[in-house]
Amino acid sequence: MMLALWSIVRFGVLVEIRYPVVFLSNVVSTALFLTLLLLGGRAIGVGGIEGALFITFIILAALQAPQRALEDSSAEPEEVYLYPIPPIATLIFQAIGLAVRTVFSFTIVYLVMLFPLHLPTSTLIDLWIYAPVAFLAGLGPGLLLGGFSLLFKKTGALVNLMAIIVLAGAFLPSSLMSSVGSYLPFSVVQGLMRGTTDIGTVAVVCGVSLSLGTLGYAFLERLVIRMGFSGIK
Amino acid sequence: MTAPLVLIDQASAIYRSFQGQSRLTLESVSLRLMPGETHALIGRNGAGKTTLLRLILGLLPTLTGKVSVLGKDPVTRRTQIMREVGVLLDGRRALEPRLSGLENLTLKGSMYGLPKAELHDRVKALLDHFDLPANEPVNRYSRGMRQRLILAEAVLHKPRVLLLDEPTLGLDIRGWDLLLELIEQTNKLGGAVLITSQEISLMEKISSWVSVLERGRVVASGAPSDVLCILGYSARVRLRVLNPAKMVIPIPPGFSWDGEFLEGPLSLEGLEEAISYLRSTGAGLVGLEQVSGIERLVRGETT
Repeated sequence: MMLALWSIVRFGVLVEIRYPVVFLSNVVSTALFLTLLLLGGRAIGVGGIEGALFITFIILAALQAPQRALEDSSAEPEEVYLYPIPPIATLIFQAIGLAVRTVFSFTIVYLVMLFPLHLPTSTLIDLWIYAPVAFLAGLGPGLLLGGFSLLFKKTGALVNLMAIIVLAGAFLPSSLMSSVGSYLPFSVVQGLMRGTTDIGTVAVVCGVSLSLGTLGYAFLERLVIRMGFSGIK
Repeated sequence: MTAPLVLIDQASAIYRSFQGQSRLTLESVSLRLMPGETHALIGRNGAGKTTLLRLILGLLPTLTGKVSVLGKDPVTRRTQIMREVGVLLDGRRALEPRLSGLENLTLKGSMYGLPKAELHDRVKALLDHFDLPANEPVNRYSRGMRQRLILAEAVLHKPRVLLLDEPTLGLDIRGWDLLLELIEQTNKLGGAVLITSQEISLMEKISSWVSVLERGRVVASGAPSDVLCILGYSARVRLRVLNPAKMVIPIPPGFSWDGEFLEGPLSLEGLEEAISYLRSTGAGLVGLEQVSGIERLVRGETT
């Protein structure tokens, strides 16, 4: 099974580097988008959000990947159920693939933005250190959204809404973060980076959210199959 | 006695809605898929063919009755079963258009747990067999080539049970030949094929057993000729008339006239009578074609 799951990650990365022009266009547009966000953040007086923003995008990769895999327009909704691998494992590894690609492209984006925006190099190191934790933080809710996607079929709008909420979380000031965001999987990682949350709390919050996400997905999957819904779009 | 690879015994299934309503989609369906057999599921759109395949794949539970695939319950043991089942649902499987045919098959083969060396040889052999360019991205493949790649994917892991739902979509004549070879090979190796298609001529050609579905029920099952005999559907002949204006009443007994075609029973006597009628009236003949019993059945014609 590990070979299969490794292949999902490997070919996912291969797709990105296969088309360098598309890849570079994505890097440039992401860099522009992030520049706007950073300048916007500075304008409203929220400084030092580079790290939070970058980590947010890793969270988003984990959050969106299961829904994207299940709503693959080229195939039937049950595609991930047609292999001898537990579907949830396939979804998790597709999310890992997307997260690896995100870290890779964001490293380049950061290097592009480093000098024009006078960004600290330490944030890049933080990106690599905290990326796995951010991925785990996003995966639980991502699996739950995947479960909703099985049930309701077209949940792109819901996932986009979640993405906007998560992105907005990057702009929360530290004071609010310590109260509101202490127990939310998306914000504890930012708290960890800012030094307002300890690693133990992050581990517990991520563990609980991942467990809830997995259980939620399993429950929705059973419900969908019991209803005979899996083939209806 | 050889055990069936797929056994469906008096199975019924329903779709439930969020409002709590339920719709019976399959009713007391029984079916056996034996090794070396190609079993055709025929019926009009909405008859329950794809739903039956979903039942076999464990994607739909039974309300009553029993389903067993390779001796296992498909709902609880799906991941084990899928090692030996190849499938095409609604004629589709996921393809990554930015990867080549070789890469797509390698990715899918690894998901079936094939060892690296075996996978490499198998992928190469299938690409050769299906006449597909190995290193070209799939987004440059034609519709027919993509369908051939999907078929190659379905048999990548040498499944013992092959479920083909509308496999002919987009296939050209060469694609049909390759599909027939694929089914023959699967049968020769002791595998069984369950196929649904709207291509009636293909179904007649390849199937050793036919089940006719109508509104979620199997209304007849058996060897193709037996089924048609049971239901009273015999093959007919259709003659295209050159000068419809010259057609005069009465037409030969047993024949019908729809303004373009003269259709009647496929027999030497019937044909002789129709041709002599067309000659005597001066209506003439452009050509003739056989209308299979299965085609008439699917069209819902009366016997």
